[in-house]
Amino acid sequence: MLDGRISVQSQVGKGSTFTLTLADQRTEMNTKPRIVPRVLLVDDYPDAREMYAEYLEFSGFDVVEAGNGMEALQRAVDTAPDIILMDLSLPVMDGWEATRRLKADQRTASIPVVALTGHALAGISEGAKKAGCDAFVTKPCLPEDLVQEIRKILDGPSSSPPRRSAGAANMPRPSASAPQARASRGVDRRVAPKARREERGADAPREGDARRTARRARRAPARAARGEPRRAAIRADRCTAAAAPRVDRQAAPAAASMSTASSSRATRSRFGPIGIGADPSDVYTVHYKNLAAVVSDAPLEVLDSTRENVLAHERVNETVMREHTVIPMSFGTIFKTREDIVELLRSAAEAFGDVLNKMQNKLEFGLKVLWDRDQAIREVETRTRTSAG
Amino acid sequence: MGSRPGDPRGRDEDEDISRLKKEISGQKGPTYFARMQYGRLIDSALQSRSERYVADILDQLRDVSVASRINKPIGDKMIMNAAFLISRDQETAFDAKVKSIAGRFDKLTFKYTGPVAAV
Repeated sequence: MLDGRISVQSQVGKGSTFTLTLADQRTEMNTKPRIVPRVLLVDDYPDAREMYAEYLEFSGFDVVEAGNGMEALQRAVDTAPDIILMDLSLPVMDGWEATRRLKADQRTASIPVVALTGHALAGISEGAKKAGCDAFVTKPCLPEDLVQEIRKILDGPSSSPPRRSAGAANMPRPSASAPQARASRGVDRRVAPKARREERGADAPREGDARRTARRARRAPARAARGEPRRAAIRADRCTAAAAPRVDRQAAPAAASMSTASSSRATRSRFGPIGIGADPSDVYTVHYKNLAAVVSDAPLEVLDSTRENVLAHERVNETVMREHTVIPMSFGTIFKTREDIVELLRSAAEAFGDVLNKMQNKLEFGLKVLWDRDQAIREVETRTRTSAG
Repeated sequence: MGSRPGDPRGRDEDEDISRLKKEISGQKGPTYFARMQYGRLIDSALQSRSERYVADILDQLRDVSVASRINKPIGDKMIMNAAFLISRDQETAFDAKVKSIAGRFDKLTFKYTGPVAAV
């Protein structure tokens, strides 16, 4: 029934060898060649999962979902994905532990794991790296950035190609022979985008360019009528805010900033947030921690948990992002409109002025009062004796 | 230094302590639990006494200070650890008040530091 075989070899005085052979049906199922690469998406928030899954499927991936670390382990073994997108804050078993277990298991150790999380702290990425994550992506990130990162990982660096399934091998790429060509010329795609552009020719269209151009052309008139900036510029704003908190507002011509974004991405190591641009235009960031020392009741809506941040990120659509600025903080990320931030700074200045006025011409004295406790005890006892007498 | 006249809580406490003290001295058997209870009552009496001192001192200094901040006392000998914000023109009055209070509470030690410029 199981299509198995039993055989016995025996020699007198030496011993017997019993051999049982069974077909491993699960392995056969998993190693069946796939047409598209499979992504295991692990996130406990169903809406986020749905959003990324939809986009990944649209981008030509086969998506398997898991809602917690334990489920992820099971799905990873059952479905043998080509890559795992792992949210770090998960119920039942968190992403760090799940990644450690995946990397410790021979069946799943070679699957690249991308930590996909709302944690923006530097230590978090280090922790994810130690747990075995191959890359770290800070949410919110645009789905196309995520897809780009997945493709980059599945492509692998030219020096050490990672594990790739038949599905990953079938994934559409910008240029079919580009990796080999780059390797032969010694051009690293991660560190020399300019060289890459020159390689394919500055004006040479990339695969997907036509589709993107058509989409932009459809949206451009409406956007121009509303006076909106280009979406790419908005993304660069957001990512710059996450990368470098500052207290000032910087302005730079859009064209110049876009080229800066490219070079910044080029010098960033593989293990770092993706989609980071260095477009400094229209960036408002506030060192809230310092401000809080002066104004304890600053009118800021603090989203103090990662979960809230993630929920907030996911609620904010492109239109809202146009009107909001992301302020990265040591304890989370805050969405405020530019008007709110201006108001915040103004009220902070006023409150600071009030504090200064109150403090002016004042002196501070310290007063410490001590007693002899033993003597006080004796006094209590004496008094009670007297009152009893 | 003693409970204020007419303070019913202090009087009850005193009576309890005195009753327990008599029990302990008159009892022939083990007095472990009675002594424990006695220690608790003494501690409670000391606590309420120190609170009364602090309230009294703060009350007297309120008129000559702009603001005050009470910090946690350090160690079991300290009963009050406070900082006061004083107007420059009230400095002499504050100084005199502290000295007068210190004179009244002869069993307490006052450690007085300042002035430190607030700005």
